[in-house]
Amino acid sequence: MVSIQEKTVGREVRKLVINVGPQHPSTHGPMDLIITVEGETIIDVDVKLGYIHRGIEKLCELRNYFQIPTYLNRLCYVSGMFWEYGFVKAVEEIMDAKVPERAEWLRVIACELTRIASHLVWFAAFAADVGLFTAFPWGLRDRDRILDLLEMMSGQRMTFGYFRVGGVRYDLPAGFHDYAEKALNYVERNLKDYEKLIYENPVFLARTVDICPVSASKAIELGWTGPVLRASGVKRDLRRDEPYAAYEAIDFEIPVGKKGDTFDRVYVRMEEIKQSINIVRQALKRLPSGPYQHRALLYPPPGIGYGYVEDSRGECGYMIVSDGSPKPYRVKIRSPAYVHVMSLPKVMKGSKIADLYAILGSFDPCLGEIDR
Amino acid sequence: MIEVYPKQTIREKLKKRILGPLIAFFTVTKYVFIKRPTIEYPTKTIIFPERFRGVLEVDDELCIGCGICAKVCPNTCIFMVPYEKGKPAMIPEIDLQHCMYCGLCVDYCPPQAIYHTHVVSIVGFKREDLYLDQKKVTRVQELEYK
Amino acid sequence: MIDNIIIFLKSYPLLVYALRVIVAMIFALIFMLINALIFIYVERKVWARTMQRMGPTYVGKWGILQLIADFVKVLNKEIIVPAKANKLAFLSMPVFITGISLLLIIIMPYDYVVVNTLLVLEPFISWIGLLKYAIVSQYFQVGVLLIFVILSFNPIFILLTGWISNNKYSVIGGFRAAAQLLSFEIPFLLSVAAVVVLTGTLNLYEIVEKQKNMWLIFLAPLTFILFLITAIAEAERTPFDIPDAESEIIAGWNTEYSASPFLLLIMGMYVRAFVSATLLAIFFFGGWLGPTLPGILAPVSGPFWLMIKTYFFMVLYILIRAAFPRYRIDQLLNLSWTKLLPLSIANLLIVIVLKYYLVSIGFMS
Repeated sequence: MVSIQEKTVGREVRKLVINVGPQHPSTHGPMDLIITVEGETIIDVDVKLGYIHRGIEKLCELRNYFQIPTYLNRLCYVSGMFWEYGFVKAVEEIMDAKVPERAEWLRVIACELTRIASHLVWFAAFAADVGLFTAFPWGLRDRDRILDLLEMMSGQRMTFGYFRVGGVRYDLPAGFHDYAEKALNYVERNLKDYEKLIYENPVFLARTVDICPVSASKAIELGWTGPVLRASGVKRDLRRDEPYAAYEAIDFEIPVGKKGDTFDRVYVRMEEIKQSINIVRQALKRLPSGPYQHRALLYPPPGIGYGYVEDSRGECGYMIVSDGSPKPYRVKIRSPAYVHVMSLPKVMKGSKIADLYAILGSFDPCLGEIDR
Repeated sequence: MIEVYPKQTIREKLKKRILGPLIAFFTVTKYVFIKRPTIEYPTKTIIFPERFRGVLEVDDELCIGCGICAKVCPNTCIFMVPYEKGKPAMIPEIDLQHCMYCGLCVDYCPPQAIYHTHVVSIVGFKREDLYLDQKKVTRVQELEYK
Repeated sequence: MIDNIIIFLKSYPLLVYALRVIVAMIFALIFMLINALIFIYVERKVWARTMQRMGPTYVGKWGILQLIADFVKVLNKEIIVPAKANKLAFLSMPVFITGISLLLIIIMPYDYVVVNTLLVLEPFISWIGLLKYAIVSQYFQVGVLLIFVILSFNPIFILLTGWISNNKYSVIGGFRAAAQLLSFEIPFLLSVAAVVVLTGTLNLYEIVEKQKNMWLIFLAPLTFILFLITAIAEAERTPFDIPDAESEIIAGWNTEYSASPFLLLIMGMYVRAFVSATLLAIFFFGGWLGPTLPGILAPVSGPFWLMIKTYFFMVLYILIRAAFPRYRIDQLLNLSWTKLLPLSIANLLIVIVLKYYLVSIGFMS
């Protein structure tokens, strides 16, 4: 047992090593943090990963190209559509395949609905971490409506299997537009309740304002992407800077924070939900008619391709090396949450130990994509 | 945007301190009186959309025994076995524990003999309950909803 | 035959006193246990309603028997004692904590509630009229002081419990819980002192009598708010529930307790919360004052109004738990020492001035 007496030799206080173990009270996933604490401030953080490593990169070398997207939505199980899209984009880049216009707009709808679902589950988990347990079922209740929409589109609620090389797998079913309108109105109405509960609550503001601020230059130096980077003040979004799918024709804003503390990260994600609802509404109005799938080759010619999309956590990318056979030679997956979590030791020095869960929740780690 | 950043007067700070908790409190209290959107499963269930991918079932009048479903399956959970009724010659047997419900076998079957049902409860007391042998694979819906 | 018993008892007055106290204690204990169960049940249902889900519904109609099922399940578990801890001390700590919290029930007017409810049957069973002598709590002339003395035993025992568990996280958790409870006691006592100044007595029954003209909440609303905040902190409920929070790292001076000892600790916590809700009703909302119920239910009207007000505050506690996240420990102590303490001192001065004014116009003697 660690002795509690402080050894005050020359004003030096003994350090305590605490193991914030693999089980977390929220839906982050199994991740081990070993923190060294002096008094109340954190001095060092050691992140140990690998509890949910499933060997997906090796698995991709053993399966055909049309079988792999059925596995990849399990990488980050909370936002599955993005991870299929990156792979399909990389294969289309090697093959120089053309995607019909209706398929591009359907992909936009699928991606943005998944972004809303992912941010809602982040909100539920973050509120539960901070202590506000009532917001946890609220977030999941709204996410259920969005998952109903995705279920109508693709057939399943979590393991979608919607993207194919050269288009999408199904068309929109009948009655989708009415149901989508009702569901989006419902989510938008409840967002106002969340804002009232969070932005006016002095306890919540005391827990999140000025906690762990990160400046813009440091964020760029550490290699962050996504909402975490935008909260620090850098205006970079892949949908705007290097547009893919039908994003050039859609009119939306990008929320940017000022200081880079925990409150800014919360604010950026809440605003992104609103912008995604806006995008889905525009896309549903302007959906062109036509085919939704092009017959593409079964496997691409030899080459290297890198397909990247703006995931709900950052930039997720796939590098595929193909050698002309039905199975890929090498697939390398770039996960944004991995970069964020591994930069925790540089960012959390000097914070208090009681803020650990709030900071970790605001970075939004999804252990499925970190460990692959 | 929310007025957290600009400089605040004492009066505004006080207003925020007193009004803030009251607004949060009454937002939560409103929910005590609203109807709840939950249903009590298993006495009641929801209606699935027609595209939903549940447990697989084979129609033995349409199946031609080609074996494409077994070749396409990413997890190799379909096995072709000789059929005792003779027509078709081989019929697939499905291992429900490894099935991903991805639907590739349904997409690639030429006569569309294998299809998804809306059965969602995959439970059993023994491992043999979760393996659809040739007697069970044609009667999944009948066995489930009896 | 009853006359013979009465003549026998009149010759041994000490025995009569002992009997009265024992009967009062039994009534108060049964009442407290039933109400702790009701508190937990109402908490689960109302909190579920704010989350838009149902609470327990399956066991018994509307889930009433759920708590009894949980109780039986917990009794079946194994009592684990850490290897290097002192077994006798470890197992006796929950008994001390809960036992001292249960001492409160004899000072609070719960025996008055039970006896008056039973007096409804007086027209039918004549000897129930004797139960009027079993109301012991009206003789506590310094009841308010006793309540706070008993409530202030908590930090010591919580510290000891954390220490005995032989676990570094329990020790730190125990220190934090003790720090929180100690630092909130001073504003607590100062707001109660304001109430005592306004009414001029320390006896709970007389405080209620003095509110016949006007309830104290209309005379001193700031005191009410201060008392509410500090009572929630003393009862260790959200937003001040760091000591037994599930999602904090160093929390839980009671992590090593498993089955029946844990149940005792939980019951102690709910007893304290219920007692503080009753105190709110007695001090500020007029206790059992209210229009009398008609006809045969006339004796029940006092307990009826007291219980309605107590349950209202119970639901208020639960809704506050639903609406606010949790404070960090240093923000909590900051709140108490820099904001609540000056406010409560200022409140006391305002109340003293108010009391002079009220005496001069003869509103309250």
